[in-house]
Amino acid sequence: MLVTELPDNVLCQITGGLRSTEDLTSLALSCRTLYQYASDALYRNILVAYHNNILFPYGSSRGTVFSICEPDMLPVLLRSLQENPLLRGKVRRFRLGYDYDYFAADQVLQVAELLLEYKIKNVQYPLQYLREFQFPQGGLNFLKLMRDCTDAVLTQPPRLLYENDEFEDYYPEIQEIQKKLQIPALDSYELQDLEEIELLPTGFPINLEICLDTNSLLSTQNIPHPELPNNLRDLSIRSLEFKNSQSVEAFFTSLAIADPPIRGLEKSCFPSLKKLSLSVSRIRALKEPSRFIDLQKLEDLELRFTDSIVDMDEEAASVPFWDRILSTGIRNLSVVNLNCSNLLTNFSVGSQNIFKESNLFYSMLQHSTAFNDPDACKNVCYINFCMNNFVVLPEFSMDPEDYKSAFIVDEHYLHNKLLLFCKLFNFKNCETLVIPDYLFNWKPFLRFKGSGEILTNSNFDNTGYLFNHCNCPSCISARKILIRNAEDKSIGQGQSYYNYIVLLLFRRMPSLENNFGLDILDHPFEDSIETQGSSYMRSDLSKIFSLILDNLVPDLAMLTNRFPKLRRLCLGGFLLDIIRTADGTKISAPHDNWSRLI
Amino acid sequence: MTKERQIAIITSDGDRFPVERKVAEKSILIKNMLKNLLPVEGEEGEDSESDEEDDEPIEIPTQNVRSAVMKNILEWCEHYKDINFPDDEQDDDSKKSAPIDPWDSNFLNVDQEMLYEIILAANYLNIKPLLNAGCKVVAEMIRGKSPEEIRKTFNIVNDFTPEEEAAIRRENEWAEDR
Repeated sequence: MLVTELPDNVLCQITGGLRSTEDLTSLALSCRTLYQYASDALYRNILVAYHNNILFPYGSSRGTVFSICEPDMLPVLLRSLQENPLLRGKVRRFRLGYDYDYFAADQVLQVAELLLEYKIKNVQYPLQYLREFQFPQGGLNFLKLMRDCTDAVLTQPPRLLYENDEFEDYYPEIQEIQKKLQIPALDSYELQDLEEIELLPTGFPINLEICLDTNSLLSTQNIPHPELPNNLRDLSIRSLEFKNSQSVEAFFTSLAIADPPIRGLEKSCFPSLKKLSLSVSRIRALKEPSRFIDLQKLEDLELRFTDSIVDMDEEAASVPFWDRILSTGIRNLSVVNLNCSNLLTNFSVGSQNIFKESNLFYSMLQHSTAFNDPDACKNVCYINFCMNNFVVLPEFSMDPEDYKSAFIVDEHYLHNKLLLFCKLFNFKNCETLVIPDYLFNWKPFLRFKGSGEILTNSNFDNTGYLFNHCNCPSCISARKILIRNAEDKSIGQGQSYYNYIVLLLFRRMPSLENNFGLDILDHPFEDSIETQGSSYMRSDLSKIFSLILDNLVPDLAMLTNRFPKLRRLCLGGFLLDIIRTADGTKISAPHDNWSRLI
Repeated sequence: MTKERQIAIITSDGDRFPVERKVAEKSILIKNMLKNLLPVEGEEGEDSESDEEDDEPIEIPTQNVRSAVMKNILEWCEHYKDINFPDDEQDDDSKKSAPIDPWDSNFLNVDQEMLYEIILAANYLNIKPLLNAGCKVVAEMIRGKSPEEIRKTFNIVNDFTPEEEAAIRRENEWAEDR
């Protein structure tokens, strides 16, 4: 029997397991039968990015589902798609990486046109062929692209809307354009304007990202969209994610104006919604969504807090509200504090209070049942938990006199820090845990003992607590590099070496300002050593990364102990796999060539 | 307490393998068959009244699997009989890309003919973790090889003309890691 005689599904699975483009191109050249399977796998998911600049969560050593096309090879890919139409039908996902060059926009548009043309011509069921065409952050989105590519729009004279214009008059025109546009079925769409909802095809589940242009008055003003509730009911929206708090407010205000809630009918706009990501700055902003969305049905929830400050009256009112939002059905939870100012730019005592107890994130941790009762959150298997209080590590001091130059840490603060961290342990069935701010927001304040005990750390004289735990020969030699480099003034301006290292690790992760935390591990990570231009120090930096990992062993032991089902862990940019065997728990960081049996 | 009824698997060449229920149930195909034939105690089926028949072992014919292969399959099932594999493993990308378990790797260290037969049997009997492991072993045999080395490994004849070969090289040029 020959390998080529294996059944179709088996051959697909074998080629699907080949995660390197090189292996697939070799296999494609071996014989006709294997060419088909290899080329299916090669063209299925394409990512335009530089090899050197990306790390894949759970994969660099094992490859990735994406075939990587380096940006300067995009014309070559375009040529192949032009020459062989069959290849166009093989592409399911096409993504542009962070280093996508906008100068290549022309080629990207041509690729999009080829893929869409093929899909529209040959499609037999909605999500056949191309399913995702994803741009990185920026003005371009798929619907804009479609509009720009379509003659129907070009023939429309530009139109300005005035205060007294009747929107009802305008809608038939939009519907007319929609018919001509034929937006093809994709898994997800990003809306930059609420009226784009009218353009979306119906009849299959879709994911919506809403990122209204906050600079454009028209898109955030409370313009009534009388058809909005009907449009939403027609669409089968599975996931609804808002990029910013203005989008949340504009969306739900429009909905409320268009459809004053009638008792019993309020929640009919999103019958199939399972995933929701909200950005909010005030607790009031959460009330409107909860009127229109059946929160009990959600499986995935993200709350993103921006510049949130809670006053005491509001906080008292919020107590029952958190439990409505964080329902017991949630399986994947992401809570993120996005603070644009940090302690390095504002040292005043007043701002220190902001970082202590008066924001929505704290209020949620203090008052929600989910974070205080282990039984309330036993369904949660994914957590992204980012309080992100410091962008970089400030000077700490326990002496109140130092308030002008340092962040004052007192016993109360440390005690609270410990209490807050321990709230995570309620989620004992968690399989994937992401703590992006671990190395600068938690680690400095907490100490972990081998026995699993957690104590507060009140020794802030230096950053030794990060590096001094392990005394194996490689750690001793890495510490010498550390000392040498810490004295070297050439790194940054006044930036401490520790901050430099922690930032390098932190910047591996997609920024939470621009990406949603629920699927943060689905995005490629950046190799920040490469992108920050520090590759000449790669060997030193790898040793320091290993040193930090060696010194994180007590933390890892504690986490794997407290979360018995934990399989994937991301701490401050370190990606860790956890495999439990009869001999113990094996923790490995494939990107950093590090592993340890605990 | 009634004694658990015996189960025997009959291979294509007529051999008979008596097995424990939980070993046989590693195969989802057999598990589903047994669900109908032999309901688990407590959720009794309607036709469990004839006591006499209950002593007869249940025989499960597997026409596509010969006994040399079945012996291997049952060894695998025996090894994993106490481990519960989640049903939704198929879509879990992280599991698909996880490295092959050393025990599986050693277990599947057989000649190609036997490896394919194990894969085919796992596919037919619906034993996903074994199928996954088998596919990973084959993928491992492809990894890092040139087209010529792949042909040699798998005894494949190159059926491309030189022009076709050149066209494929040109087609996939964008994906070359430089």
